[in-house]
Amino acid sequence: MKSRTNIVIGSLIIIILLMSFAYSTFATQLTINGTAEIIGEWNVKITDVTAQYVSEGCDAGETQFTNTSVTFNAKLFKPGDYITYSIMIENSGNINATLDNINFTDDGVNGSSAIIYKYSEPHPILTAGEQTCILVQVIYDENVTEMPSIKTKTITGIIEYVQGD
Amino acid sequence: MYKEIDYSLVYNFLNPVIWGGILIYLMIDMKRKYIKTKLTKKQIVFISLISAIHIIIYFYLGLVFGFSKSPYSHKVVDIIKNCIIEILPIIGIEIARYILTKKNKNKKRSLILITIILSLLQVNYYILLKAFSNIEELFEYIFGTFIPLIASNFLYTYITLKESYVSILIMKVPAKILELLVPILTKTNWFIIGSTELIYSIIVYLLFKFKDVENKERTKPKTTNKASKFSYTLIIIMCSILVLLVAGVFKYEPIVILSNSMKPIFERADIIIYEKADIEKLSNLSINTIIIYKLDDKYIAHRIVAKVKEEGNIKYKTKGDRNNLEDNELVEVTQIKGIYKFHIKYIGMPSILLYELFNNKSEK
Repeated sequence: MKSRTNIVIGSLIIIILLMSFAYSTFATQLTINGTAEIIGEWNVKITDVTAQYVSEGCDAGETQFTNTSVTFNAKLFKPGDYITYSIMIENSGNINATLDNINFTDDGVNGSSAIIYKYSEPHPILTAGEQTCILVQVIYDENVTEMPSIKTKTITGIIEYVQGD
Repeated sequence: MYKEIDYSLVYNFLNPVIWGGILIYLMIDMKRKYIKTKLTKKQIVFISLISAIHIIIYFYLGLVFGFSKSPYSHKVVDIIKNCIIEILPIIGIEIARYILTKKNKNKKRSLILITIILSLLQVNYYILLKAFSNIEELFEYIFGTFIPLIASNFLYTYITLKESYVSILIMKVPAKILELLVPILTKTNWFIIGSTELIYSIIVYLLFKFKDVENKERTKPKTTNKASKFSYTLIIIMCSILVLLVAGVFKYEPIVILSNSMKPIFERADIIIYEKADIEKLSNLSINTIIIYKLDDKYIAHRIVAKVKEEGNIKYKTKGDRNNLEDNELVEVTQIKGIYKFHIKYIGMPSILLYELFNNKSEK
């Protein structure tokens, strides 16, 4: 009995050590997880965020994203400049999902008031295995006549899906 | 090709229908063969406690890592639908396990095979196939989901052999119902969920082992197993501490060094332990302090060589001890992850090997 238990414990230590080393190597993201049963798997998340178009001389900045939120730091220089970001969302689980909440906010007075943004609506229903894309366009307002001192804007978006029918 | 399959159809319809059918057949089969499935009151209390501990651990992790809104629908119809979809296969699998293990209880190889087959029936193949396109995701899936799934299935087979499928249902069903009912779920990651499931499986296995030994000792002369109990407990505690340390739960967090820019203080393959600090402390760091900061996707551990005030904000100029030049960009307080405390030589080598194997994007 003792030797079998020792093998089990030894295997545990080896696996935990390997996982620890791997975890400290990989970049990690928080995900929503249920208990270990994986018959039904919820896995709707943002998979990629890229700057699709950047006007000349502008800076798309660093984009950060978690499973359900995304942050852009756009830097634009002159009226008419714009950056288009694309946010890819995928339902990799096996439960159909319905859009519950989409909300974009900016850094208010800390960012440029001359920079505005708009976004396209994603698919309201994301069936298992399906992908959708949201396009966010950050624009330097063409009608602005004064040159503001701040030319950056930080925009944060939250996109949440829940179980669909 | 796998994208063309409607996996929600498998989950919502095929899975419960197939397992429901198997369940009905097995129930009839069981009645026919008079298989004893009743548990004693003591066994029910013991297994209920184990189940409660699992639920407590899961929600306690939420207090540490945070909670997120549950994606499950909470309409009454959907709750009933979810319960049928999720619980029917669990009951089907466990009764199938019970009958198969009882029929093969002295055949070790058959038991292993049964456990592996039942584990494979619970794998989400869509995610598994997808993970094959990215070695990092595959690794995370194997260690975060697959191995814990196999481990818990071996545990279930073991408990089924010792007791009955009812024990497993007491362990699994209340946890599943709670998961479907509560409006929040724990926010965590593959490492925490995987290691917690593994450690939990081992703890339950040991509890059953010691319970079994104690029962046998009542009829046979007593043998001392206090020492092994103590050593196993110590190992479990140390594994748990390691997991929590790596996951960044404590004030101190480890990080693997991939370059030699701070040689001779520390070098490639060393693990440094840094202290997480608040904004106020990070705004008042002195020259020569070694900080760990994030730049794009990379973590860098360099020494502060100057402190500057830019647009009212404190920023630091940094430099690697072995580098000839200072770092190009000033480091903002918000970029700093912590302050270097001490390091352990060379124990990060496995991480380096993994990094090189996966050609990971973040250099620490």
